[in-house]
Amino acid sequence: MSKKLSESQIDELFELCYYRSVNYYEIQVELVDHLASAIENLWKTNPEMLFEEAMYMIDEQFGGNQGFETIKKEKEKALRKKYWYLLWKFAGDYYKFPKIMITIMLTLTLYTAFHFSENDQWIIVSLVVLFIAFSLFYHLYFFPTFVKIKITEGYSFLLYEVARIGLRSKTELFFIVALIFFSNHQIHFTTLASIVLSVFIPLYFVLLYGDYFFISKKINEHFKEQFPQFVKS
Amino acid sequence: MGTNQLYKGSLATIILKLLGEKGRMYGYQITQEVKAISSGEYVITEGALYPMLHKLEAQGLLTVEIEMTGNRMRKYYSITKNGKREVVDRMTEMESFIRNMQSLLNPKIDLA
Repeated sequence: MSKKLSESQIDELFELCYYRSVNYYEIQVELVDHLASAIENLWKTNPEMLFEEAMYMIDEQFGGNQGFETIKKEKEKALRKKYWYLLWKFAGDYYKFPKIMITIMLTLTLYTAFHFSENDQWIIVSLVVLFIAFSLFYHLYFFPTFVKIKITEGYSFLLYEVARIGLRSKTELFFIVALIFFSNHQIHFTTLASIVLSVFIPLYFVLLYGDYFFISKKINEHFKEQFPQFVKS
Repeated sequence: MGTNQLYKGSLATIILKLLGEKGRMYGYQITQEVKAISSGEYVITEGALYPMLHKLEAQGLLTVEIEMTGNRMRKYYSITKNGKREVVDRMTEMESFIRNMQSLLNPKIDLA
C-alpha cells in the first residue's frame, strides 16, 4: 500500500500556504491537495524520502513565493471578473422592458427635481439619507436574515472578500462625490449636468442594489455548493 | 523555444477536451494525465494550470465540486454544457490551425 500523508502533515501544508501568503481557504484547499498528491506520488518511487524533504522539493516546483502569488492573483482576477459580469447582467435588466420603466421613472423624477429645485444640494442630502437608510436596512435586517454564511475564526474566503470589496468601493465613491457637492452651500446644476446626474445616479443605485441583494444571494448559493459546512442552516 | 511554449496557447483547449473525455478530474490528476498522454513531452506547471482552471470556472465553462478524500478536501472540475460547446469550437479552430501550419511549413510545390 502506498504511503499517505498524516493529518499533521496536511496541517503543515496549510501552514506552507499561509507562509506563502495564500490566506484564502478555497485556494488553500486546492493547493494543499495538489501538494499532498505530488508528495504521495514522490513516495511511490522513493518511500524513504522524508516529508520535509519532499515538501521542499514540491514547493520549489511551485516556484516558491512567486508561484503561489501568481495563482492567488489570477484567482482574484477571475472571481472579480465573474461577479462584475453577473452584476452588469443584472443591471442590464433595468435597461430592458419592463424594468426600464422603473429606471426611466427614476431618471425623470431626478431631472424634474434638479430642474425645479432652487438649491440642488437638498437633493444630494436626500440621496445621502436614502443611501444610509438603505445600508442600515441591509446590514441590520437583510444580511443577518438572508446571507447565512458563517465564517469560522481563522478562515478567510476570497469569494466573500470580492463581494465586500465591491460594496466598499461603491460606498467610498458615493461619499467622495457627495462630499465634493457638500463643499458648496448653494448648488444649481446646469441642464447638461442635471441630465448626466439623472442618468448616472439611478444606474449607481441599480448597481448598488444588485451588489447588496443579487450578488449576496449568488455568493450564498456558490458557498452552499462548495462549502456547505460554512453555511448556517 | 521549448516545446512547452508551443503548447501554452492551447492549454484551455487541452483542459476542456480532457475533461470532456474523462469526466471530472482534480488539478494534480490533470497534470499527470497530460504528462502521460504526451509521453512526458508536455508538463503543465501549477502556475499555468490553476489560473487557467479558475478562469474557465469563472467563465462558466467548468463547474466544481469539493469532496473529502481521506484526510483532505479535493476540488473536482467537470465540463459544463457551455464548456462542451466551447470545446467543439476550439477543436475546429485548432484543426484548421494545424492544417494551415502544415501548409506553411511543407508547401506543396506546383510543378505545372
